[in-house]
Amino acid sequence: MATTDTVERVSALEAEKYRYGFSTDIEMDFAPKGLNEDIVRLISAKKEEPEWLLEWRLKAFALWQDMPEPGWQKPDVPQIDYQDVYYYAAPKKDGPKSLDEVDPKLLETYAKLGIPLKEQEVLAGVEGAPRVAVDAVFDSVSVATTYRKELESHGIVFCSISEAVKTHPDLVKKYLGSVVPYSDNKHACLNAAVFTDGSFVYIPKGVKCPMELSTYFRINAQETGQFERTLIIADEGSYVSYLEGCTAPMRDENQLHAAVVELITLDDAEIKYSTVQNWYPGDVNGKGGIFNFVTKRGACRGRNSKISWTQVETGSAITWKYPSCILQGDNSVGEFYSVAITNNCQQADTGTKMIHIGKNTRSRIISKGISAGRADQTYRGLVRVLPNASGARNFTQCDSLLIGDKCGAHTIPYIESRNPTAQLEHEATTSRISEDQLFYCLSRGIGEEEAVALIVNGFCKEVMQTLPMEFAVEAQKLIGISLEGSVG
Amino acid sequence: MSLLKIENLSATVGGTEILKGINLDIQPGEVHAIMGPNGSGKSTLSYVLAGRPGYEVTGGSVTYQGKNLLEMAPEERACEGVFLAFQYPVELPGVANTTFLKHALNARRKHQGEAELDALEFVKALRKKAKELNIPDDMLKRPVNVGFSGGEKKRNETLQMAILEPRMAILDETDSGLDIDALKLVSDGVNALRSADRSFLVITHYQRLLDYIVPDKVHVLSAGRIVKTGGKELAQELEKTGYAAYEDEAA
Amino acid sequence: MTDNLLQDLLRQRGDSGRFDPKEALPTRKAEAWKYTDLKRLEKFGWSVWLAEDSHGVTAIPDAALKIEGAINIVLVNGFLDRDLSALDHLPMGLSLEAGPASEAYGDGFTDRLSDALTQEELTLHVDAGKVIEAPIHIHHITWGADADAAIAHAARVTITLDKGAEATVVESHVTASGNGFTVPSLGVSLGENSRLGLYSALMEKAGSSQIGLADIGVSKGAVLDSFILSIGKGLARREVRLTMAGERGEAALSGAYFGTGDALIDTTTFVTHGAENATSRQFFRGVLDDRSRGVFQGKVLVREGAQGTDGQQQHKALLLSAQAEVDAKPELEIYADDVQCAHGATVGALDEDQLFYLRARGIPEAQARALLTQSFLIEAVEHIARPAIRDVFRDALAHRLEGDLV
Repeated sequence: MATTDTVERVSALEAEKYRYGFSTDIEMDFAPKGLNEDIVRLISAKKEEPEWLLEWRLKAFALWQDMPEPGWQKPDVPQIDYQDVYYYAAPKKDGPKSLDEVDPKLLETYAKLGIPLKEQEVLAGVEGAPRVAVDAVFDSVSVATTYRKELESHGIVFCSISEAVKTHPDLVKKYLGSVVPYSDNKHACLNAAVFTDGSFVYIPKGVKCPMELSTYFRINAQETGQFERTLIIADEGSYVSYLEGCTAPMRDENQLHAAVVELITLDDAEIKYSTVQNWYPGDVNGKGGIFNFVTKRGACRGRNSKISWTQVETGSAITWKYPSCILQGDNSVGEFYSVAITNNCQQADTGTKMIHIGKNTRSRIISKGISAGRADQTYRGLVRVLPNASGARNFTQCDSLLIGDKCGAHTIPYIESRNPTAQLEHEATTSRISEDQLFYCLSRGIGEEEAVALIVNGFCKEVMQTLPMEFAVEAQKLIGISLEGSVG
Repeated sequence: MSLLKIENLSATVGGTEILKGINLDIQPGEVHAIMGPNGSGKSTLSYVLAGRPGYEVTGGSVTYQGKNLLEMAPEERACEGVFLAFQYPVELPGVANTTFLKHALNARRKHQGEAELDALEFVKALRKKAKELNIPDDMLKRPVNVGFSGGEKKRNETLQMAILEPRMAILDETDSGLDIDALKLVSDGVNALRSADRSFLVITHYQRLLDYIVPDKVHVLSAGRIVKTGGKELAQELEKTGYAAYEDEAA
Repeated sequence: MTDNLLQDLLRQRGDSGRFDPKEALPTRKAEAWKYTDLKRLEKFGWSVWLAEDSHGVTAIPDAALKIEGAINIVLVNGFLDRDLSALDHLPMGLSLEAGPASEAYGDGFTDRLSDALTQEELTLHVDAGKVIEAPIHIHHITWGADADAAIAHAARVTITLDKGAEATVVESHVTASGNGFTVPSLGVSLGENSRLGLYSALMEKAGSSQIGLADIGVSKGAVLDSFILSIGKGLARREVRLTMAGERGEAALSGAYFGTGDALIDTTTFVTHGAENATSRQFFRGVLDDRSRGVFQGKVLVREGAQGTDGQQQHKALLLSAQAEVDAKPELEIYADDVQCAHGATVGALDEDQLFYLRARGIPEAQARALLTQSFLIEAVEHIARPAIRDVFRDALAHRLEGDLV
């Protein structure tokens, strides 16, 4: 029974596995393919940006041209032909003033993704219903923001970054590039030069954002790189929880995604940033899929401030991503919770950096890596305690689970301490799903794939618990889907 | 019709022949006990019936509800109503007991073409059964068997059985590691499940379990064969004479 | 002094080895040298010690470890000194010979440096089935004509245990006079079911720098027990490459280090599991005081097919001073699924509760700290399987700590 079952299962998977693999037929407004100074100017002009931003982009572009590709990661990154990519693709019907003006096809796309924008405004009045404000980024341009009015009543700004450049130029100018400078790395540098859109959030002093803010990223057009840029500022004593979901249609070619996320917390502020990344991983033979080269970093500038990253990474052909925290303010807290699943030919090199600068700063890293098929996964992390960070604390737990004997799982932590009162603790383990556990589940009538999903969800529990409720359910299912075909 | 019919069953583990021609016929509602010395093949028989990989059937047949049991995958057997209470229940870190049980129960219901229970219904049913077995709520929330004492693990196995309502329950040395109170509790749990269409195969080294779960038939297993079959009085006889006589018979 | 120290050494040696004509010492840009800065080497104008040079060592220095009943073998500035070595009455089954250096090692910088600078190789061989009871103690001594002398030398020791052989080898490094830049290399091969105790003591003076390499292969069923005590006052880097090449091999690789002043102590291990069901255990402890710096880079690689591997690693460090620093990079690279691999790394200060408890019983703070620090390091020393060696190393460590802490 096993053989036929497996063959059928695999062929079924080929077609069905990536349930977000549909492509929407919408008129796109493309800039010419390729990258040069003119393209950078064009993007800036299309967005009617002020001179300082154009200058900033051009400086980034100039630097980028001579910058080497990062070479230290474990995955082999094929040579990227940057001239073969569209750097600007916006739905042609631009400037929607309200949801009604949004292309219905687009809304349909979001409905397939499970974020029915229209419904959400209706739902707004419903007692006790989960409330999520969505800023949807379709390829490169932010299309619609729901819940704007209610947020505005709290003084919260939640809009596309292009819009923020116009409406809140001082904030953007002050903070843009202040956490991730354009010179940080080649991918971040490219983003600075060509970013087309992304989300901007500002939470004023003392305001607890009354709902989860959410952005869905989606790469749709062929050969479109997506270079979104997100900037979130939590002013003194404020709080916000931000969700980011990513999907992309199935394509044979590799698509580049080089995003930048910057978070800033001032005194007593907190940002919780959750990501479920489900970009198309390529087919079982490693053809196609997204190159996910993302620079995410938060600065805890204020005392007692906190930044918490949670990520569930199941997609992309190659993931290169290290959401980090710079703990400047005394007593500030950085957290990184990660589940990364690689199957088939996926490669992931992901982890975090916790830089302890202020006194009594604390960080916590929980990383759960699952590798199956022929996939290769690396946790790469840095915990650095600088001489003034008296009383700093770090706890790191990295666990890897291998499913099958053709995959790889690696752990590369860097632990650097220059303060005698700091306490750092790092633990890592590597194991596999035991045959006993599997058999035990089978003997209770649970199918093999369901059993694996169950055990893997148990393995990841500590991280999954940190996700907001609406996300957790989806993420749990995603784990099961990602591991289909990994056993039997 | 027999519920479970084992005919001339032989099996090897790691190339070594452990079962050498077992015959057993269990009618619906019957409780059979298998007793035998260590190494006689008791646990092997239970694993073969549950379909554990690595236990290779080399001859004979097992018919369950008229179907060839040996052709079924372990999970199919479970969904068809075969339940093995493990001698050493396995730990599942991070998997909550409730979650685990719900998955197991719904798998069975789905197999039987029944609708899956919703969370509320399930928790209600679970609480009721747990209470009967003196299993506190917190044990239901904890990861499966992780940090459980020996007695808690066995009670947990019994709870699973109560929830899953098997037709053919195999208890592998359920009494091992239990004190007398725990033994009573587990036995009460088992007895409460006895019914006209549910059968039990109770595997044990000692007679004392059979004081609480009174069998219809007792078989003595020695060196991979059933060497004697009798009524419940056979268990008492064994208690006095020990297994020595039967070991000779097998050789 | 020149602007390229490496090329200067090679010129003196008269052999450019496997180095490019313009190649220099590695900088911290190189991943393998990320935490170990070799700039301090530039403070001296090193003279490469050549075979025809003669030294003034007349006896084993007091600073050396004293191991009762040991067969003492003495190398001064990289060359075997036959007068100071007990070569005459070696036990049956043990042979010891000095000759020209053998073939090249790997491609790493330290491999190539050792190849280029090594002039003489000491070969130690234990015949199949022979058990050498007496510990073999190889003394590496740096001698300079005066306190300012700066001598560069490299010694190579090759240890081969045939099938079923057993031996205990201690190799220690001391400075008799002057400053040394030493590049010792150790090639060790454990034959099937052989057992080796291999213990290193790095105790060189401030001003000295050592970049050492040990390449160890463990065959089927063989058992290695090894320990590195690094308590010198200069720069001491020890690279250990351990390959579990045969099934059911067992290796313990442990160490303790203590840094004071400007010491830089670097332990870089690379354990490769290439066979099934082999076990490796690493247990390291370090304490850093003053401006000293500790580096621990430990990698465990499990190759495809090395099922049943059990590889564990632990590194714990204490910082005693605000200027001290420790950098750790434990690393797992796993390509087999049926494995048990784990590493743990902690950095911290002394436990405040323990400290208070000791003080509450009347022990002065400084003494309480010294006691806790010592017990912290002794925990590693306790991993040494040979009791006689364990005692000697424990005493050496206590002596070193006394000189600094109390």
